Amino acid sequence: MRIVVIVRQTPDTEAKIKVAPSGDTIDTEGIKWIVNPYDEFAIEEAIRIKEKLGKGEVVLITMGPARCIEALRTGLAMGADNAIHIKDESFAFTDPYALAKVIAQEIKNLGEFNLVLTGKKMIDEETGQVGIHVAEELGIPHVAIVTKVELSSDLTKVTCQKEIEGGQMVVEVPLPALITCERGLNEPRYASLPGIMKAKKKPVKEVTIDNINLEALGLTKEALGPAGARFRVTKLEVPQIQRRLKILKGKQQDMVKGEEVAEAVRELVRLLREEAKVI
Amino acid sequence: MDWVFKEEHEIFRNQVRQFVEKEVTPYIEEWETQGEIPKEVWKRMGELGFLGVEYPEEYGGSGADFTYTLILMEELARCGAMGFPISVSVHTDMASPYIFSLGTEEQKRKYLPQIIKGEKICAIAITEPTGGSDVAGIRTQAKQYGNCYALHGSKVFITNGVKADIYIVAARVGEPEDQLRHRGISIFIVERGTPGLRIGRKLQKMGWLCSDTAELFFDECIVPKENLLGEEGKGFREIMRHFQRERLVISIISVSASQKVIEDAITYARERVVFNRQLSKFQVIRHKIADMVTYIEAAKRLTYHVAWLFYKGKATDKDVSTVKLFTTEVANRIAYDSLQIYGGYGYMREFPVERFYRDARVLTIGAGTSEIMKEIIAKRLEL
Ligand SMILES: Cc1cc2nc3c(=O)[nH]c(=O)nc-3n(C[C@H](O)[C@H](O)[C@H](O)COP(=O)(O)OP(=O)(O)OC[C@H]3O[C@@H](n4cnc5c(N)ncnc54)[C@H](O)[C@@H]3O)c2cc1C
Repeated sequence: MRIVVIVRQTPDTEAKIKVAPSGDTIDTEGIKWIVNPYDEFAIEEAIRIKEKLGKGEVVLITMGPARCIEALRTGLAMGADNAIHIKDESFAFTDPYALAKVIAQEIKNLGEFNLVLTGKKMIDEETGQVGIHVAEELGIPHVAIVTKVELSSDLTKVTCQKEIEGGQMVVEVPLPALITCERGLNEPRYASLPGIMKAKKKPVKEVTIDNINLEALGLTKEALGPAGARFRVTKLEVPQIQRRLKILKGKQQDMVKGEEVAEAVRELVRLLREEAKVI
Repeated sequence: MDWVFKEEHEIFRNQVRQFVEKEVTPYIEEWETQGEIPKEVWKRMGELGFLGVEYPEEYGGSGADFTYTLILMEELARCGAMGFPISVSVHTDMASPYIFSLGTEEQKRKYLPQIIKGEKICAIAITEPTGGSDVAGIRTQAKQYGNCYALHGSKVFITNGVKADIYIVAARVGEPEDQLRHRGISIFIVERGTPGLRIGRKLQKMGWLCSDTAELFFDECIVPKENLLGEEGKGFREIMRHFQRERLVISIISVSASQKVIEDAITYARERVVFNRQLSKFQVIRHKIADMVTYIEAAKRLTYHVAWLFYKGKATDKDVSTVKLFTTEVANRIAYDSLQIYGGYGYMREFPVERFYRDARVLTIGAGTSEIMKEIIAKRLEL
């Protein structure tokens, strides 16, 4: 069983995002990078499947600048076996279309594979296209936004559960297939320190732009960089945060007292749930 | 030392930070109230490789180096209560190293795997009711009878003492001689449950609440000869040597916990409005913060420098003493000044700065007082 996981790196969810002076991208200076959280679910699921079967291979694949090696090493430290890094600084700007074509080609180059997992989307640009597009390129079925994965005992099929409005949908597809992972699928493990030390020695294959047969993919070098992307970000804006403050007051005085407390608490919970949407 | 941090260090830092955010900080209140860290947390840290960072793989360790210990302690120290990193570091960097560096192969095989897995917790017992600074003056006796030693005496302020399974105990073989008082000091492994070892009450402290602290009593406590660590009578030098790691780790914890407190104080100063202006816009406050940030930066750089020397095996006791002295005094200054920024809220239990204020106080006392650090520095200056 060979499971391929498409992994990408994104700015830390807690990073302070600043728009670059050019206005169409972010200022990456000093930003901390992490494994895209949805891809972490994919890595975890792949490792769990391998652990459950007691055999198999988990291959990570990423396309991006040199810094992305940290995302790969994190996955290797969690328990993946080896990784492929399609590496070029310009790949930070590659659009999902070209990205999917190149990644799919590398997956094909692996020869045999049974399952491809990836996150349902990147948390940075939120396009959510790469996984599905890779499936198209590979000519295999895909199931998107999955919260449960079960392999058949003969390893020919996979049953996936998807959350849909008001219920669940169960989908069965033959292998090989591609699945995009949703929150709730699992709780990704931390990489343990022994895992991190071992990951240093696990193989990472580097693929450079010159190793890719772009012509065969119908792509050009430019198509992989900022100039050739099929879509262009014209403007990034930081939303103005409105400070909203609501104070619940008592009927007689400002302070909520006595019998009014229970009612005020109910109202507060309602507001937190319905207006602030934090609970 | 920043330049030695590579991607694997960043990965480790990220993982520890997530562990702290998800599995430590949310429970700190509970542990502080209970006065201890649950056993499962030790086992969890064992699983994650936090309790055997530098120990070789053959004992279950990760075979990493001191840079990882530094990162681990920095991140644990951000949890919101210093008792937690202290308790862990006593186990990993203050007690168990005696077994690793002095133990025979047999002793190492017997104890280290359990220690690294977090199944057995360690404590180090040197300080006695009659004195902690004067290590050469300890009075606990170890009398040899055939294949055994019988320990008599008592220890006090022993971190992890209430819960520990393995005590590293300093005791004196033979009578104290006036001229060479450090002679005869020896180090023993005493296991919980050894007849004659009585664990006294859990001491009530000002801070470090989640870290349990005990008194120990030895009354005809029979320890087999195999439990002697290193050579009989050579313990004093070993204690002095092991203090280096202990003091450096305390310094790392001091700096990192202070750093977190300043970060929070800055956020508070930005949010709090007084006289219709943000607190952070008042020059007095801005300058106070600038001062604190400068001190902490100096403390951090000094710590990194000596940590680097230590990693290279070149740190002297003077180097380590300067770091311990400076970083722990700075932590107390930061505790005082940060709390002031919070005004009355800083004095309230709900605010982490209140705990830090209590936790920081003992930093200039434990692991060698500031006065003792100055004595060491002065001695090396041949004053
Ligand atoms: C919370 C806590 C946890 C601890 N954990 C441990 C532990 O796990 N294991 C352990 O063995 N010990 C532990 N200790 C003990 C700690 O190491 C001692 O408290 C410390 O070394 C000081 O010893 P003392 O308290 O006996 O003070 P003393 O040695 O009595 O000192 C009293 C004062 O005199 C000063 N002084 C002493 N000698 C000199 C000198 N020569 N010149 C100038 N001034 C001097 C000291 O600096 C201090 O201000 C812990 C202490 C605390 C408070």
